[in-house]
Amino acid sequence: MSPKIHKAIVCRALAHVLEPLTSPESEIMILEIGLHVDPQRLKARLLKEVADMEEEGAEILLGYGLCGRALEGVVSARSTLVLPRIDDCVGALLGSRARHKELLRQNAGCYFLEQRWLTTELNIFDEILKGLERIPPDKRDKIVKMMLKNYNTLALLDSGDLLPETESLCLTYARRYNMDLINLKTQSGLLTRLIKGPWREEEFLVLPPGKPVPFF
Amino acid sequence: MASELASLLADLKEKEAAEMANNKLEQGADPMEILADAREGMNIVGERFGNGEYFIPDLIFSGEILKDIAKLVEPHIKHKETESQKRGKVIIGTVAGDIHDIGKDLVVLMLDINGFDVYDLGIDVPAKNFVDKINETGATVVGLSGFLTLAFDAMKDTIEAIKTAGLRDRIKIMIGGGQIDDEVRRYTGADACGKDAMEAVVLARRWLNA
Repeated sequence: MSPKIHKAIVCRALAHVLEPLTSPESEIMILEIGLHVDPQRLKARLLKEVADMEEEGAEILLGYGLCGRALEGVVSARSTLVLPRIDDCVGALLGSRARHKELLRQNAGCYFLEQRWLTTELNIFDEILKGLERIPPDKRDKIVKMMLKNYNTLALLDSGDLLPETESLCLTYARRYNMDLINLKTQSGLLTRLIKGPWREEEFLVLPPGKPVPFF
Repeated sequence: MASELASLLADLKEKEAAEMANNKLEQGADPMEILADAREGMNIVGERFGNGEYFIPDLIFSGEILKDIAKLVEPHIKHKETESQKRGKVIIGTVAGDIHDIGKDLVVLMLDINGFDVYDLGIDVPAKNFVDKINETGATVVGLSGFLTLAFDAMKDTIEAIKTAGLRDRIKIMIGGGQIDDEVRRYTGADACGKDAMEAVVLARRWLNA
């Protein structure tokens, strides 16, 4: 089963997987990762993009998860919305909410990174240095340590195309902050099914026009 | 308009904020009002983070300033007496699968300075540990913390475990962290949710008649 008209709104964090899966005639809107910092802002933007894209009889595929509950309340008046039942981009690349949860059950101290996220707000190692100039110099070290103290593992999400410089940079981060570095193979099945179907109930929310994304 | 202390905290003026809190205390100000001002400052920090003006280090540092202010206020809160005069026991922890504890630690601090006997179980706490601690201490209030949306299921499981152990009827449970609201409270089966450390104190007081 594939959508009658390909329309998708996806987060930049997942665009590298989703975009190549769409057909050339697809209408795909890629939104910046930074929106996730403020769930209300992300929701407002998604509502606007959905309203701009919606069309009678079309399905709009959302390349997102619950994303800090930003997706709740997103609704289309005229199109069907399809959203995978995952928490965020990590679950999306791991292939399921269950795998994401199981990995955190085994080790809650994992910080997940994908190589394309290194230059974005999802790179905590850069984020912890932002705004540090506002912190008194004698406190900076303590603040940085506080932010990372509970992470013991840097889990590099590996789609089989890792660049040597990515691994090298992640190894540097891991050593600097006393973390283990592990590679986790990604699974593209869920995101492939988002684009190509089938949308099984246990994996996807399929919301007819007028029905908002619920808490899930 | 924000109070002067709230503005100093929001602007991350660590020394100035502590000085002002100290001066206010020396002048006989109500310590709870000082904490309310600090809370207002924290809310402004949250807004600035949301609109991209502040970053993660600013959030952490503002929490440190709040802790400094709370420690100054602590001796002025009358109910902070001896162990036997504590207001009641509260067990708190970040649920299994989650390691975020910055908010939880502020809740622990605020409960502590407000005279509660706090048992902090730490992070990534299995449901069983909450049950064991309830049995060990006889506490009647439990706080479950979590930042990830993945933590909602762990909260639900923890509350279910408390129920299975036959303890639910005598325990009041609050949840907090991240995007938690009444919808999540209903999902998890908790009794209440709070959006910051002071709300946790208000709930604990209400439940323990303290």
